Amino acid sequence: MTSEPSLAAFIGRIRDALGHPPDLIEMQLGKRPNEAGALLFLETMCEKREIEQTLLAVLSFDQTLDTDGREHGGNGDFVGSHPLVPERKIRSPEEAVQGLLEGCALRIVSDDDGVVREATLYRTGTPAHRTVSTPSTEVTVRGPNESFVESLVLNMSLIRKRIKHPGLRIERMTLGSVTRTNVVMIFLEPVANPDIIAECRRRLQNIRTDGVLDSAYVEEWIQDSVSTPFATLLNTERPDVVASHLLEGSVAVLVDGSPIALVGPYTFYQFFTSPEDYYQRADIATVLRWLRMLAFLLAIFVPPFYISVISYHQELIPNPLLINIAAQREGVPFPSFVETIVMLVTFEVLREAGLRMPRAVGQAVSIVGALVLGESAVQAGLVSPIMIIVVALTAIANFVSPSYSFGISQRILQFMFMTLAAFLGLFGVLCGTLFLLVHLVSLKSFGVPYFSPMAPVFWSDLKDIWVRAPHPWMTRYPAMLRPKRRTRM
Amino acid sequence: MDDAIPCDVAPEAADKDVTFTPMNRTVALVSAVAAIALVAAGCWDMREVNQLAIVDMAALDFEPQTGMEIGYYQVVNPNAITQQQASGLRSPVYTYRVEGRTIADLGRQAALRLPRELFPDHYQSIIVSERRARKEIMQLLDFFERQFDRRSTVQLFVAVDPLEDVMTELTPLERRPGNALRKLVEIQSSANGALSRRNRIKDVLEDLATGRCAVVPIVRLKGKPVRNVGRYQSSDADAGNLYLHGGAVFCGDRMVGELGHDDMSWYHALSGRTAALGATVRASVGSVDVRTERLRIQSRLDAHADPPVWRVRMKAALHVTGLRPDKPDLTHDDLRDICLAFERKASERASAVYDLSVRRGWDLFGLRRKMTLAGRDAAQWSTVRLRVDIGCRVLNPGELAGSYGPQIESEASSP
Repeated sequence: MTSEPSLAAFIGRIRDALGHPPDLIEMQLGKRPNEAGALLFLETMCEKREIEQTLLAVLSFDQTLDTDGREHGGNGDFVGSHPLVPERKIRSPEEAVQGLLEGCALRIVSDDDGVVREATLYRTGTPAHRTVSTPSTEVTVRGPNESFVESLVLNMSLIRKRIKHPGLRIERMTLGSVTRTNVVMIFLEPVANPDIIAECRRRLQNIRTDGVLDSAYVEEWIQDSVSTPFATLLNTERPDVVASHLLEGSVAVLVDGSPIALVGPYTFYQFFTSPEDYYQRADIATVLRWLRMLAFLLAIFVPPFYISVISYHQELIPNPLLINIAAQREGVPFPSFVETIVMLVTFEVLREAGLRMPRAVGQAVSIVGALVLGESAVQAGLVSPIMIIVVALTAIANFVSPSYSFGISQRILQFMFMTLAAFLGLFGVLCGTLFLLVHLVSLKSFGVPYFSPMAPVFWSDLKDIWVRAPHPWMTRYPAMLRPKRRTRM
Repeated sequence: MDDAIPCDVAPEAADKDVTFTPMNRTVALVSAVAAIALVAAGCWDMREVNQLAIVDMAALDFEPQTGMEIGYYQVVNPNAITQQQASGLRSPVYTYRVEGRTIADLGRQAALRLPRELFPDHYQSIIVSERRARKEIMQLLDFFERQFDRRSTVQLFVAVDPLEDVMTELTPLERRPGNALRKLVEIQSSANGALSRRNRIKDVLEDLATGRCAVVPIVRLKGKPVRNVGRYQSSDADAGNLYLHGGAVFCGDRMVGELGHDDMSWYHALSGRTAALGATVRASVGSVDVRTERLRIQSRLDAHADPPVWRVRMKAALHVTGLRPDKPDLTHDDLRDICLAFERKASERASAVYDLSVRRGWDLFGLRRKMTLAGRDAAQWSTVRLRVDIGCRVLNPGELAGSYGPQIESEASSP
């Protein structure tokens, strides 16, 4: 202890620091007031049953503490090892307050003079959280179906049970000066590049904020660039995905209270990979990956291409199709850009409404809204029928992306390209494409070029980018992550 | 505890002049580009599809008395095209007739009549009246070459019937007449060689520019013209229909004559512009209809011979399409005889077309240029002799070895 306050003063300082909360429970231990000490806990953060049945059952004995920390019963019999593993010993009332806020019970032992001799925190259950359930946004047909929950300890155990290697390193730190959120950085020490680990650690330690309520808070602090529509870190709710990236030398960050893990470095082409790629046959996975790439191109380029050819480059449309489109657009009062923007924004509104509403109602709103609104808009002559096809194709293509955040990036790009197409036609789309490529090659994720393995080229890594090579062929770690060793352990 | 919270903003950031941060520069740059884009020229050539008058076919004529150019624009009525299955009572095309002092003036005059912007990029066919073609054609070709929005790959035709009738005629099945003519060329070029795809404006230009005569299909009108949509309610497709027959020969800058329809195939064959030839030959087994499935043609001018010889070598693989033999089964000798008959016929017909071209002074095969390239006097091209060597084999005698004819006769005569 830094000082030796009396038990009453010690408890008083804790009580004052917490503002005399109603859920702070104080219990006297021992037969006489000055004999054993006190037990403090916040009943809203602890599991009361565990305190009553286990902690109090042991601590209410008249106990002594031997030199190696083992407790003995009051009649001199050895009770056994400590029934509860202490979280840590604390040295100041401030530490005690922090421990109580983390959901620990505080046992304070005083001597005969009433001076605090020792204070220990005990983990007594964890705050309420969900049980492990199936992933909600990263659904796969084949493969494990577990997802992270809001408990950091449970999330770590989900990774531990997948990687039972002594080289798995977990570094813990506390972020948020007010929330004091536990954050862990996980990596596979024999594989992960030390520079990447050090960079990740440095960025985490440099976070200066009052609160971290979710991994998204951390993501914005540690990502490489803010001014980009692309995520430079993977956020996933699947422990198997995190494990697979750890196996390749990536670093994962878990945040207490968040069911989403962050993984980095993460590159552009990895957004086209789905966890299921590795649970399906290689050839099937390859075709599906190509399909996702095609869907990305469709999502980004179909609306701007439509606007361009309808408004500027009619000569590019085959003659029968041009006549067909002209017939459909007879009587449509808006230019194609306005028509497209209105329909896509309407769809986005419907989609957003569907997400926020209760699930059963949300689906109905999306489907009915899209169908009824689209059909009515065509019948009213506000939009052309082909516009519905363009919007539907684009919307469906947006959902193909395995990563939700990447899907949002696609939509942002789509609107940017549409604006370019409206003002400059295909010339604008071409300029936008070049600008996008320049932007992509300028990004980095924890020092790894974002467009790798295409720029710079890592030939050996292409077998898990353009195709998904069979597992026996993937004997080397991805070179773009600069792993400690090249061949797999 | 609040005291322990570090300040989010670094102290030096507060002193920094935010106007010149990289972020602000990026925002300023993007804003500037966006502002320029708003007033960029790209904005002003925007035109929606439904603001266009999509021209399917155009025609050129001239008025001999006034010397005025007469242009016809056949504009597609998109709704009538797409709804033709449900209702055929709307005209799929509307024809506008304009007069102007020059060909370019025709476009300006059309703008006075058309409520939509003329869209010439999708011309399917161009028709020139015979009298205009005989006057001169280079002005039209030159005009096309100079326009970035007019394709030189559009098919060119000559009409011998009045253009007013041809341009107001409605065609069944393929309801856009310009497209119907284009389809006719495409189908015929691969079926029997009477027409070739190489009658596009660019091909005609290439021929004329190299001193060679060009041949352009002639479009004719069968029967009386039917100018209303009532023709879609009649099953008589031939009554008032456009068809292609024969070719107009252009030498220099004008039309100089006509090539018969039967000669067109052999002209295209000698020119190496078709892989399909159809012919009826008289062999020892009787009258046989054959069609080439493959036709390879190589030609070479032997300029050092005296007189110079133009050697044309044809290698034909035949398909026997019709047979009326005097005996029931074809033998290898019969097939060989059919080949020999085809070789005789091909040699005879090719020579006839060649002789015609020489006789009339039409350099249909570019011999003038060949002579020049060989260092000979181009004017002597008419002295060049044609030698045709034909290699032939029957690739496909048909499903039957013989014919049903004798078999049926023998069965009929049996008791």
